[in-house]
Parts: sequence; structure tokens; C-alpha cells
Amino acid sequence: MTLVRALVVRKPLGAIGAAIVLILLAVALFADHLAPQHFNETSLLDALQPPSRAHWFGTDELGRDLYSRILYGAQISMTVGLAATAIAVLLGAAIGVVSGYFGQRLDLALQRVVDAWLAFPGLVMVIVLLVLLGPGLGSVILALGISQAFPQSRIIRGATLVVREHAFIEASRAGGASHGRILLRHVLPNIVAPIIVSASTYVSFVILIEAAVSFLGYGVPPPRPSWGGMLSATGRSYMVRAPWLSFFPGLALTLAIFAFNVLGDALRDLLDPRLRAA
Amino acid sequence: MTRLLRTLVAVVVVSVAVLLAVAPTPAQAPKRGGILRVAEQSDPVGFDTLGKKKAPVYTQLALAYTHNRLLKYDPSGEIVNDLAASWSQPNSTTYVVTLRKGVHFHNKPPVNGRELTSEDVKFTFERMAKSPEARLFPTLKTVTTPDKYTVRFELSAPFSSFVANLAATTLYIYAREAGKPTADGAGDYTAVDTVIGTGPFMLEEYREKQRLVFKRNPDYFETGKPYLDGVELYTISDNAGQIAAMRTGKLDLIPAGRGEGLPHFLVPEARSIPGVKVIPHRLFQTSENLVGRVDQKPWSDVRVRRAVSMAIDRAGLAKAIFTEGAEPFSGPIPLTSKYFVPMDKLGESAAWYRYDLTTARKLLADAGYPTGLPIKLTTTVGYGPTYTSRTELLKSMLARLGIDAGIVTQEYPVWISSTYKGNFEGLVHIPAWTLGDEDEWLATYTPGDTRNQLHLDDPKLTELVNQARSAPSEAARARLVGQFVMAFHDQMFRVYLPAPRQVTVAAKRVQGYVPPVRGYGYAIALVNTWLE
Amino acid sequence: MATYLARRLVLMVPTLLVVSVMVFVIMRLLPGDVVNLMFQDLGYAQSLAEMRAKLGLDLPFYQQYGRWLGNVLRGNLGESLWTQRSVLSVLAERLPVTLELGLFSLAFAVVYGAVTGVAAAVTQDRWPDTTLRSLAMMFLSLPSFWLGTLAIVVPSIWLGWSPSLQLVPFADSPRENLIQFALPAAILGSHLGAPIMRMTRAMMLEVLRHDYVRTAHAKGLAPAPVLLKHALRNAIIPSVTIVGVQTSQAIAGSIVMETLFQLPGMGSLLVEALAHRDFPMFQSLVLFLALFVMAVNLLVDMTYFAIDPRTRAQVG
Repeated sequence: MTLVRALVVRKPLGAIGAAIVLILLAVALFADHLAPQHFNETSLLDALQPPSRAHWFGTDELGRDLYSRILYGAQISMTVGLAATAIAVLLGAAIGVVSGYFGQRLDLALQRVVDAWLAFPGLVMVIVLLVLLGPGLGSVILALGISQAFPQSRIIRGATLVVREHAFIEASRAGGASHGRILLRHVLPNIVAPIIVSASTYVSFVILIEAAVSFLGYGVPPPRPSWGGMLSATGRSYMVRAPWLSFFPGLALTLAIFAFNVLGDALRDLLDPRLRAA
Repeated sequence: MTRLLRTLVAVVVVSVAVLLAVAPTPAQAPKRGGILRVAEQSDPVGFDTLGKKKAPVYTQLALAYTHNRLLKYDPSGEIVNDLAASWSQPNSTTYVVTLRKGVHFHNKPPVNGRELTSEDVKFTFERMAKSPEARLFPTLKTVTTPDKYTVRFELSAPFSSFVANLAATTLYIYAREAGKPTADGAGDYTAVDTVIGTGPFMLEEYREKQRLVFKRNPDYFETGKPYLDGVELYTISDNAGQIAAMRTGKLDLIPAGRGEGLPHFLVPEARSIPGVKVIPHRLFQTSENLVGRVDQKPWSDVRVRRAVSMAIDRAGLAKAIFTEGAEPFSGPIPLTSKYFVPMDKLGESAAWYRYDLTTARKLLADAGYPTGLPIKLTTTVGYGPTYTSRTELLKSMLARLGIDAGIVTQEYPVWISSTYKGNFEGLVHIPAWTLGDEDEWLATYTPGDTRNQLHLDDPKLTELVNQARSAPSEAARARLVGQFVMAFHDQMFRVYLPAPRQVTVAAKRVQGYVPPVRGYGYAIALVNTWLE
Repeated sequence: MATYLARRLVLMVPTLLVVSVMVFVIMRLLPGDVVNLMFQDLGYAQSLAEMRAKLGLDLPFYQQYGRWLGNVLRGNLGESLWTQRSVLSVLAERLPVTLELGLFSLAFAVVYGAVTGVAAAVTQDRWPDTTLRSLAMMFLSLPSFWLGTLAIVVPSIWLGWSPSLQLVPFADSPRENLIQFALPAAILGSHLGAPIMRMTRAMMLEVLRHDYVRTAHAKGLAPAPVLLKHALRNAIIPSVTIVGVQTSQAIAGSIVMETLFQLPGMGSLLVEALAHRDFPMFQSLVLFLALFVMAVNLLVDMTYFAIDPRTRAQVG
């Protein structure tokens, strides 16, 4: 509660971001009720209509209502953004905490694997995973989640290292506490803050990457509308003929990414002002 | 007297005026000179059309600039002589081709402008036999060269597509010494410096993924041609980019070279550019279609196939998507072929092309699917976003019939390795096809052919194909092909969409360019093109 | 310091080895194979088998890997399965393009980040600060390819100008070349510049709070010379070290920009090689990029290490 208050009072921009995120979540959850039409309702007679009272954002080349498709697109972006980040955090925490806490040779070995993953140019890893897993929403989530797990693990490892130095950890070990108990009661609570901060920025990153891979042809396949897919595929071809087809998805994407970015920034400033962006 | 004179004068004056009005304006004389700038969507992968792997499309397009074939297609799709001066068929299994005299290869080492002889043709056919193109001449026995300008082909059995296949866009005539030597003697013509042909243009420069630069062959056998000093061929992978270049005056021609011309929604944009003209035309190709496996349910049931066909609102689709015009397409023989059977000649089978949901639902119910059925619909991203958008349209049309089509989008390598070769379940959205002669088309419906995606194995139809292949006369062949086509329609093996008109976009200063009906060789039309 | 450097260099070797195994295995796990791509629907079983043997793809996996690795260590990167051109020559052709795009973008990012960061810090919490920060945030949130598409289409309609159809090498025409790269570099740079701006601003604020600055201020000295001498120097260096992290992002960004602006660089080559299942090309490319990223990171860490003694304790 105090966090929310602090957000609104001291970081109004972050509060706006949080509000937008909540709105997007609501849209994603209630798209079926909010959208005037189903996202795949084609109507060839109404193809490529500019924005009007009947179709607020216009229609696409198959006569589908763009406003409805944008609303349903929120489902994809939110699902991918949150689910992939959740996977990244869980997997990253598993690797990072184990590596940072147990140290020594385990750390050395694990970090070589992490180095290898991180050495792959980011987008390449995602695309390769997508090709490997085959097209589909699940593949996109998994591919983005796995590829983001490794940078996340680095951050978590760093935070774990800091916590490990604290005296009370040594004291607990001397007192006979098991590793599991220490991890659960002492380590995890102290690394939650950096996780939250990096996670919220990751969501925006994931949303952006999803759009980028859609642009390159590897995104969420039809018929589910994704903002990235709308922006890249048909949006680009119709740029002159029907600019609204790429304008609104682009706007939606920018809004979502912006919201998570400012939220992440505000959280970072509030939770750990000493944390430098690195 | 004066009145008669006046009337006479008036009559003369009027007559002269009328004559001047209706007399044809003198044809504009072609001007020599200038560089034509053309755009294509991809660049060649090597420069060998008779290599060990399938000849890439853009390689075929590139060699049309620099090489010649024995025969070629003129813009209207008729077979005419290219390197051949004449040909004859002494008996059903022998063909004799007489070459033009005085045709020279490009003046580049190591060929250095020597004259083309029958040995070059023989060598080319040896290469062909060792490549996937061997399928073009299944009954070829020997190729001999009685003299410097004569080539004699002996077949083991009659083959009615022989002459047409001499005009195949992969059968360019190569010079032996131009290629890099290989163990099997066929030579490797992948590299740029092996591109030495007899064609109207010489390859001067190749920057991968960027451009090809051709310049006029001064010794070309059609004297006075080509008019152009040279051609710059740019690789611009997306259509919108091509239009943008046209708009800013950086491009002169966007050909419908490989059967996928400009998407119609971009044509109004092209038309609005001052200084640019839009040329609609037809192309020798089949159109997009929905197909399933004939050896599996549900596509094995003719009622299902007919039902699907009747659920497609072809007229609505054509009006919305093919805004520059489309014609009803009744395959499997391509449009503009002399064996093509138009819709009004189909008789009873034309009924299956009607948009009639009630009858369609009844047919589907008769086949055992009264409430419709779920089915997989496979497509690929490899043909661009407008293609997958049409897949979505097909899905929504099938939904009206109660067929819940689950779209599976495959990456292109996966698609080409599996689905395209017939390894799939359910339905597939297949793109337009441009193959060679009619025999090739028919052969794709015989068992064992690698292009038989639908696994069709109908002994009667196979027999028709074989008979047509060795038909003794053109009339016999036409009759047999006609039977095949009618049977195909009645069975509705493939559900075809309308065939869109192709559109070539050219700057107004481009004159004399007639878009050829047979794709993969628009460059031959450039021989007669000039710039104002 | 020397031991640290040696340790890092030694650690790079197993990492690179892991990368090579990873990319090798992954490529062969991918569905759809290169031989089928070559023959498409004309592939008869016999010719497919012959081609596979010719390309050495029928050997057991570990043998293929051993052969390839052995060749790479000898400097032979093999031939593209698709075009038969030597991988090395293709890489050499493509590298300058990506290098130019990357350097140009980073330069843009550093200048943009530094200038706006300083300006924002100096006018903290007043309207220039909030405006600049919002602008940076907006640039960070705009998808680069959307911006890029707009940047290509809008000028062609309104100004009658479109980007050059083909790559203009620097040697041919420096002016044309710079104009061609300016647009994608600016777009990419605006993304990379935002974190730099943020760091510069934060660093500047910290420095500005220091006593000596306040003392100088109290003494009545003009702020400008003080800023230039102490504050800027202390603020810029840590910001520039972010550049190391940005390298990986720059490579990812160049994939998209090169595809959009049709620049034949390594980014677009990655996508093409993957689409063609061109094993030798893709593997060599990934190895090269991995090496490059690791080298840049090492360089950056060394600089950070030398500047900031606090990190030495963390590393130990």
C-alpha cells in the first residue's frame, strides 16, 4: 500500500504508467465484451475503410474492424509480456540464486553457460528458438522467456552475492540452518526488490521483441491478431493505401512499452535509489 | 459552273481531311541508347540453370538477359525460333534442329566471341541430363551433331511436349569452356565469370543482394538490337519499396516476371504517379487453390470437395482483393494455354464453381458431416503477408460452411520440405504455379511424381496423361487433354480461386515493352524496348 | 589487473566452445533441411542423397562437428551451402556495413545521451529536464521498425525522396554513404541513447551535489568552467561504459534496421542464413558475433575496472 502511495505522490509519471498497465490488463481480460466485433469477422465489402463512426479505427484488407483487433491484440501483448517475463524471472532466479549462493565451481561452470547464451546476439537466440519450437503463441512465450532468463539470472546472481556477504547468513549457517531455509527466509526476501525492478522493464522489452520478431516474420501466427503482426505484415504493405492499419497498432505498442518503461523506472527510483542502471 | 467547281473543291477538301484523320500516325522510331532500371524482388542464387539443384527462379530470370534457347515464346505465348533457324520432325521419335549461322558468344575470355555451333547444343543437353531438368525430356535417347549447324534428337518413344520443352526457361545454351571444370564433365556455371552466352546483354557487374548490371552485346545476332545501352537490375525485396523508388524517379520498370505481379492494392498508388503507366496483362499460370490429400478423409470424398468449392464467394473475393480485375479460373491447365477450358465450356461441372451455401451444406451433410468438421489448414509466411491474409479469408469462408479451419503457419523451409511435397494433413493453401509445358502440368497428377501433392492415383487419369504424352497428332493430344480437364473439374480435386490480372508498372518513357505471357523471361521483351 | 585480464581471456575459450556446440546442435535440430530447400519439389530420393553426401551432411553428428571445428581453427570457415561462396569472403563483405551502422548509431547515441543528459541534469526538475526525459522515454518506446517504415514512406510522398536503392560504399561517395546510413543510425541511436542519457544525468546530478562544485558556486565562479573540467569528465566515463552492454543490443537492432533499409550487413545475413538453413554461414557468423561481443565486454570491463576501484572488490 505504501508503495502505491509513494508511486502516486513522488513519481506521478510512474503512476500514470501503472494506470495504463491496469487499463491494458482490463482490456486484455475483457476484450470479448469490449470489442464491437470478433477479431476474425471478415466483410469484404467493407475492406480498407478509413476511421469512421462505424469503425473507429477503420477496417483492414479483409474488412475486419481494426478497433476490435487492437483490443484483442492487447490479449496477446499482455499474455506474452507477462508470461514470458514470469518464465524469465523464475528460470533466471533458479540459475542466478544457485550460482550466486553456492559459488565456487558450480558458479564458475554455470556462468560459462550463461556467458555462452549471452554471447548469442539477443534477437538471434529468440528467432532460433522460435524456429526450433515451431510457430504458435506458446512458442513465442517460451522463446522470449528462455532468452530473457539469462540476462535476468545475471542480475539476480549479483543481488544474491550482495546478500550472501551479510553477516547473519554466516551466523545462520553456523547455527545449523539448512541451505533451503536460508534461501527461503533470508536470501529471497532480499532480492525481491531488484527482481521487481528489472521484471517491469523486461515486460516492455519482451513486448518490443515480440513485435520485432513479428516484423521479421517469426511472430504469433494468425488468426490471433498481435500488434506486432499487424504493424509489420500488412501494415507495411498498406502504408500509403491505408495508413491507419499501421498507425494504431504502432500507437498501441508504443503506449504499452512506454507504460511498462516508466513504471519500471519509477519502481527503481523508489525501491533502490542507489541502484545504477547498468 | 462555279457551283460545280465549288462543290468539287469542297468534296476534295473534305475527303483529304477525312483521309488525314483516319490515316495511321507514323510509328515512332525506336531510339537507341539509355539505361533501363528494373526492379526484382530477389537476386539469383548462382548463375546455373542446369546445375545439380533446382534452378532458382531469379537465376532463370537473369539468364534471360545473357543467354538464348533454341526456341522461345513470343509475347503472346506462341513458340518461335530463337537460336534455331528452323526445326523439323522427320518421324514420331526424331527431331532435327537447324541453327542460325553467325551467332556469336559474348566477347569475353575464355570464349572470346567464337561462333555458336551444334556442339554447344549437344553439351547443353549433356548438362541437362545430369540435372533435375532431365525430367523435361524423359524419352530422349541420343543427341547427335551431323554438322556444325545441325542437331539431331532421337527419342525412345514419342513425346508431344518435346518442341515446347526446347523453349524451357532453364534450357539456355552454354559454352563448354565458359564453366569451371568438374569431375563429371558437366561444368560449374555458378560463378559470375561463367556467365557468357549469346544473349542481347552481357553481365558486367553483380553485387550480391543489391544489383546486376548488364550492358548491350554489340554482336547480338538480331542486328540493330537491343536498343538499350544497358540494364540495371535492382533487388528491392518489397513491393512498397519498389513503388517508392518509382515515385522518386529511381526506377523505370517493375515487371510481373515471376507470375506474382504487383499486389492490386498497390496499383492505384502506382497509377497516381505522374510519368508512370500501368500495363495489365495475363500470365501463363494457375491460380491459388485449396487442396487436400485425395487418399485421406475428408478430401477423398468428392462431395466434400464440391461443397468447399461452393462455399467460396469467388466474385466477392475478386471484387475486394483483386481490384484490378480477375478472371474465373478453372484449372488445372494454366490460363492462356490453348488447352485451357473456360468456365462457359465446362458444362455441368461449372455448377461446382457457383457460390451456393445451401447446396454446399447439403453436400457436406450427405458426406457425413452435417454439423461441419474441424480441419487443419496449413499455410506459410514464405509468400508474404498478403498471402497469409488470404488464408485467413479462406478460413472465414469455410466457417460459413461449418468447417472450423485451424490455421497452421509454417516457416518456408519447413513448408517446402514437408507440406509442399504432399506431407500434410487436412487442407493446404497452395500458391499460384508457373510450370513449363502442358505435359508437366498433367504429369504432376500422376503417382510417383514429386509434385503430386494431393496424392492423386487414378489409373484412368494416369492413362490419359500417358496417352497425351505420346499422342501422334495435335488433334489427338487436344482431345486427350480435354478429357483430363473435364474429369478433373467434375472431381474438383483442387478448389481454385479466381486468377488476378497481372500488372506491370513502367515509366512512360519506356516504349516497346510488351509484357510476355510466359513468365520467367520478361527480359526477352527488353530486346525490343527503347527509352524516349 | 593483469591476472584479471588473463583469467577473463582464459574463460573466453570454454565459453566460445560452448557457443560453437550450441549453435551447431541447434542448427541441426531445426526442422526443414537445406537439401530439401535446394531441390524443392524436384527432389528425387537419389539426388537428395547425393547432395547430402556431397555436402558431408550424412556423416555422424560428432564427425561433422569435429571437421567443422578443425577447419575453423585453421581459418577455413567453409562455403555457403546456398551460394557456394566462401563464408569468409561473404563475412568480409558484410562486416563493414554493420560496423558502420553500429559505430554511427553508437556515436549518435553517445552524443545524444551526453548532451541531453547534461542539459537535463543542469536544469533538474524544470521543464527542459522533464521534456528531455519524456522525449528519451518516448524514443525508447517507439518500435524502431515502425519509425523506420514511417521514415521511408513519408519522405517519398511529401519530399519525393527515398533511400538509395543500393548500398553506396564510402569509397564511392562519402556524402551519399553517410546520408544512406544517417536514417537507420539515428533511429537505432535514439534507442541506445536513452539509457546513456539517464546514466549521464544521474552521474551529473551526483557530481553537481559535490562540495567543491557548491563551494565554487558559492564563491561566485561561473558554473560553465567548473562543469567542463570536473563534472563532465566524471559523468561521461561511466556512461560510456554502458556502451559495452549496448553492443549486443546494437547488433539486435541492426538486424531489424538492415532488413528494413535493405543494407547488406551481418544482421540481415543472419536472418537469411537461418532462413536458408545455411549451416556454415550461420555458425561462423554466430561465432564471430559472440567473439566480438565478448571482446567488447572485456574491453569495457577493463576500463570500468581501471576507473572504479569499487568494482575490484566485487569481482574478487
